[in-house]
Amino acid sequence: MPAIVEISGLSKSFGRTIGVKELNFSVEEGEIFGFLGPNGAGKTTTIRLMMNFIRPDSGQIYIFGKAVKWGDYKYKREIGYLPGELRLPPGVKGGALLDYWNEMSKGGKSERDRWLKALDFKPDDLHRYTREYSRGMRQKLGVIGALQNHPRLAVLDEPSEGLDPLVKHSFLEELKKLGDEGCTIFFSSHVLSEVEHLADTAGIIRKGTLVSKEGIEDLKSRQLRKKVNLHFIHEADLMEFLRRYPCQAERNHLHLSYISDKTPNDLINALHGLDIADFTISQPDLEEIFLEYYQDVD
Amino acid sequence: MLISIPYFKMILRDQRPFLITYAVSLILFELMVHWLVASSEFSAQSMKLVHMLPPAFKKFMGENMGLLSPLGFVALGYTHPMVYTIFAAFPAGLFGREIITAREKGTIELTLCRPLSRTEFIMTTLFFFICGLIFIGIMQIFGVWLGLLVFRIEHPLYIFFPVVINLCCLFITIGGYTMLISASAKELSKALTLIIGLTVGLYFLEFICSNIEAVDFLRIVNPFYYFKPQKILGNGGYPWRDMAVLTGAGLIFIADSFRRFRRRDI
Repeated sequence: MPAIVEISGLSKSFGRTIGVKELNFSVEEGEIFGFLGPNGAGKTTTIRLMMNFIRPDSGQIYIFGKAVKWGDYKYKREIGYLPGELRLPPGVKGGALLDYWNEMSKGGKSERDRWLKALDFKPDDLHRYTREYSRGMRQKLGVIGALQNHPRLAVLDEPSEGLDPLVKHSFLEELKKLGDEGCTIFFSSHVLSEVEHLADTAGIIRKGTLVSKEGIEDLKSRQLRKKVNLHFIHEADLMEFLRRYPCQAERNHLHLSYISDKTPNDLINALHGLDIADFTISQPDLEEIFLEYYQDVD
Repeated sequence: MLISIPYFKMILRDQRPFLITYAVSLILFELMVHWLVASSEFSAQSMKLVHMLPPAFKKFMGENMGLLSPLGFVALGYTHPMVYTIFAAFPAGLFGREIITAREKGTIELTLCRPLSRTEFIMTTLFFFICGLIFIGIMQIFGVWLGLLVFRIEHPLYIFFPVVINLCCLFITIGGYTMLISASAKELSKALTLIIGLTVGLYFLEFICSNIEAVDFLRIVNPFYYFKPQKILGNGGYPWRDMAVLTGAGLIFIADSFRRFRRRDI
C-alpha cells in the first residue's frame, strides 16, 4: 500500500527547546495510526509541521505521495484537521461555523449528520453561539468540522479530549468505521488504552524522538506488564512477600509498588496466607512505560 | 482568486458591530461639528479673536484660510483626535483580532487547515480593510451631508470628497504599518502598545515639527504631514502628491507584511 504520510529526518526546534528530532516514519493508506506520547513529547509539533503551520529546520514531509513545501496548501483539501486545545471563534453559532468550514473546504461529501449522531450532539445546539458551549461541546463541534467532509486523511490532535466516557466510546467506534471505509486516520493521544482500542499501528514519541513504531498487537503484548500496588497490614508479611516474590519494588512503609511481567496467578500464589489491606493491578501510565522500556533513549 | 469569500464573510460577521459603532460615531461627530458651525457667529469680531491665539496653535490648525470661517471650522473636524481615533481603531481592531488574537488563541489554524493559502488569508483581510475604510469614509461623507442638510449650511457636498479621500489615504499608511506590526507580532498587548504609541507619537511629532523650524525637515517622513484639510478646502482640488505619498507608503508596509506573514510560523 502506498504511504499517505511519510516523514523523513524531520527536525524542529524552538530556540533551545527541541520540538522533534530526526523523526522518520510513514503511515499507509487506510491505516489508523495512533501517535502516542506524554504531554510535551512532540506530537502537536509533528502535526503542526504536517499542516505547514510551522517550518521544519530540516527533513521532509510527504503527504499523498507529494513533498510538502513551505506555502503548499492544496493538499489540505483532502485533510480533516482537529487541533489540540481547540478554541472556537466566540461570536458565531455552531451551525454557521460548520457551514463556514464546509465552504472553506470546498464542499465534498457531507457527513455532518453521521458525526452529530456519533457524538450525541443535539442539532438544536447548532443554533447556539459557541461561547455558550461547554468544553466537551466545543470539542465535538471541532471533530464534526474535521470529519464532516469525509476526508481522505484525518489528522486529529487528541480528539477524545474533553468527551465524556459514553460519547468517547461511540465516537471511537465510529472513527474505527471511518477507518474501515478507507480513510487514513492519524491521531495523537496520551491515553494508551485509546490507542490500543482504535489504532492499527502506534508510534511512540518521547522528547521529540520516535522511540517505537509497531503494530498494535506488539504493543499490547508489551502491555502484559502491569503496575501492582500492595498495602500490607504487618511488616512481617511484606518481608515474607518479598522473599517469595523478589521484584524491583518501590517501598513506602507498608506499601509496595512495582511493574510486573508475571501473571496474576503468580502474584496470588505469592500472597497466599498473608494479610493485605489493599491490592490493585493497573496499566502503568505512559511515563512509566517509557521509563521501563526506553531508558536507553536518554 | 486571491480573495476568499467565505473568510471575508466570517470577518464581516466578526467586525460588523465595530464597523457600525465607527459609522454611528462619525455621523454623530459630523452632526456635532455642523451644529457648532450653524450656531456660531463668524464675524469680524471673532476673526480678531482668532488672531489673538498663539501662533503655534494657529499654524497647527491651518493658516491658509480664516479659522473661524464656517468651512475652516468644518475642516478642523477632520483633524480632531476623535476622528483620528475612530479611523485608527478600525485597522488596529481588525488586524489585531483577525491576525494576532486568532494566532494567540489558535483559531487561525481552523482557517488555515483548509485549502486556503496564506496569501489568500492576508489578502482577504486586506481587502476587508479597504472595504471597511471606504465604508467609514462614506459614512463620514453621509454625516457631512446630514449636517449640511439639518443645519442648513450652504456648501456643496463635493468639496469635502478630496478631504475624506485624503483622510482615507492617511489611514492606508496607518493601516499599512498596523498590518505590518500585526503580521510580525507574537502578542496582542505588545503589538497594540506599539501601534498606539507610534500613531500618537507621529501625531505629536507633526505638531512639534510644524512649530520648531530646526526640526521642520522631519515632517516629510510623517504621514500626518500629508493630510491638510484646511488647505484642501481653501484651495479646492485633489492633493494628488499627498495622496500618492500616503498610498505608496501604505503599499510598502502592506507588501512587507505579506512577506513576513507568509514566512513566519503560526
